[in-house]
Amino acid sequence: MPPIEERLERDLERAARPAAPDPGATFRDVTRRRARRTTVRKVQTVALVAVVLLGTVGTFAVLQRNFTGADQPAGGGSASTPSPSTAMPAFAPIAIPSDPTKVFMVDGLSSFPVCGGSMIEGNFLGTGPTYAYVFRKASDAGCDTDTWVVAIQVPKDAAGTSTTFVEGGPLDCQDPAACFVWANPDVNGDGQDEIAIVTETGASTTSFELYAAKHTATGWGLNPYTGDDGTPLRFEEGGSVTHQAGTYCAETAIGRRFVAWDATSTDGTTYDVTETTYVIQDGLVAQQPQHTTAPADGLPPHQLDGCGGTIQNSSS
Amino acid sequence: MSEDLASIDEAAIREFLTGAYPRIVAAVALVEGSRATAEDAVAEALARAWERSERGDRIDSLPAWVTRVALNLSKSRLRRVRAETRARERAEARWHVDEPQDARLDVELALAKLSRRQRQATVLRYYLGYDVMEIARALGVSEGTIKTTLHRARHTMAAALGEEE
Repeated sequence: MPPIEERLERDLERAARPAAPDPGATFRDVTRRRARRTTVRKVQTVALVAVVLLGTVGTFAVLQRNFTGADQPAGGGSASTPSPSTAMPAFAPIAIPSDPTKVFMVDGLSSFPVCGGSMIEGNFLGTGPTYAYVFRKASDAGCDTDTWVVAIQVPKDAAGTSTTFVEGGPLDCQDPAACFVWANPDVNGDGQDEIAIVTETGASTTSFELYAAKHTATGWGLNPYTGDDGTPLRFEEGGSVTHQAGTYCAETAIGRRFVAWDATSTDGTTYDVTETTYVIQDGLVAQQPQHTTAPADGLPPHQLDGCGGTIQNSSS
Repeated sequence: MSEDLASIDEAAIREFLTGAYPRIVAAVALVEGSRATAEDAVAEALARAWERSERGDRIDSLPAWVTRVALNLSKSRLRRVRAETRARERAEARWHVDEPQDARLDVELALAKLSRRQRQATVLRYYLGYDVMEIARALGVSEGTIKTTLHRARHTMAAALGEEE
């Protein structure tokens, strides 16, 4: 074993200083937390049922009113008009300084200065072009925090006369120089683009996360696709002779599917490939991975192939 | 990670608390630099595992599951702390500590020079004894990425500790 590995094992053991546990107190704490989670889950279930019931009743009432109105003479009925909430302003991109260390304010964003921004255009609201951004938050001392956010321009009001921003994150950026908005794919083929954000760039591999805008009763929100533990799913692109990874979209009989794959090889000619297909069920949900072998020139597509949108390979 | 549990009950939780618990808390504390955060995250992860098992989800290895989720939860908690103090916080302040700086060991100071993922991989490999495949599963990335991450982490740690690679 190399000296550094022996040193790490020895020193980490010493530094860890495992505390003498108090199993009784910890067990009571865990029990209390479990009970609280169970209660919250029950309340959420009841609330969800209530929302579904109210929505059903409301939809029925609206449909009944509209169909009744259609039978009435012209000028005397309640003609259906577009909802004010669908009105969209003409979005214009904001100017991002070419110097990534320059601190600036963005009108409509929360009251903090930013720096190091990147931007991409896409159909992120499902209603036409708008713009997504990744910003690094600045501090009083300048462009030096490790907090990054994603933001998109949305209508400020129901009339759609002006624009503002909704934020998501903070992003888990591993390297400040390599955190930027990368692409605008539509991974589930619903006509609304997702935002692909690079959060780590290695020598040969790039990692990215996917965010999606969603409209609720309280307005637009921006959230990541997450795994079963609630943290953002992270996908990889690129690799070396012994390890390759990528993502693509496949059209199937039941719609577009997003696929992430990983391939390893000992000789650089034959690869063991693992493909994980994701479906949308309140988010991206992984299906059972499929294992195959493939030659070097027969690896699956990569770089979000088939997902639509454009890719920009740097923050510039 | 040899402990296999299809369902988690009170006996399994108690066994975990008297067995794997201290080392997993210590591991998360090494990554985060805060024992309080680690204890909180591990307790929360354990409660989630128990609740999920009651709902019928299968958790094959309780220690591995708790380690993975606790590492993710502790990250989220630090994020919230950072969000509250973002305007005043400098980059070097992200390493949260429970003790005075001079009381910490060289290896802890060297760990602070690593990225979060490098710290996670290093602690899982050299403190908990995970192999590359187990680390990849715990962190949700490929084995190739873990090999690269560990290589870079060793390089940084060797330089910081004045040790040969």
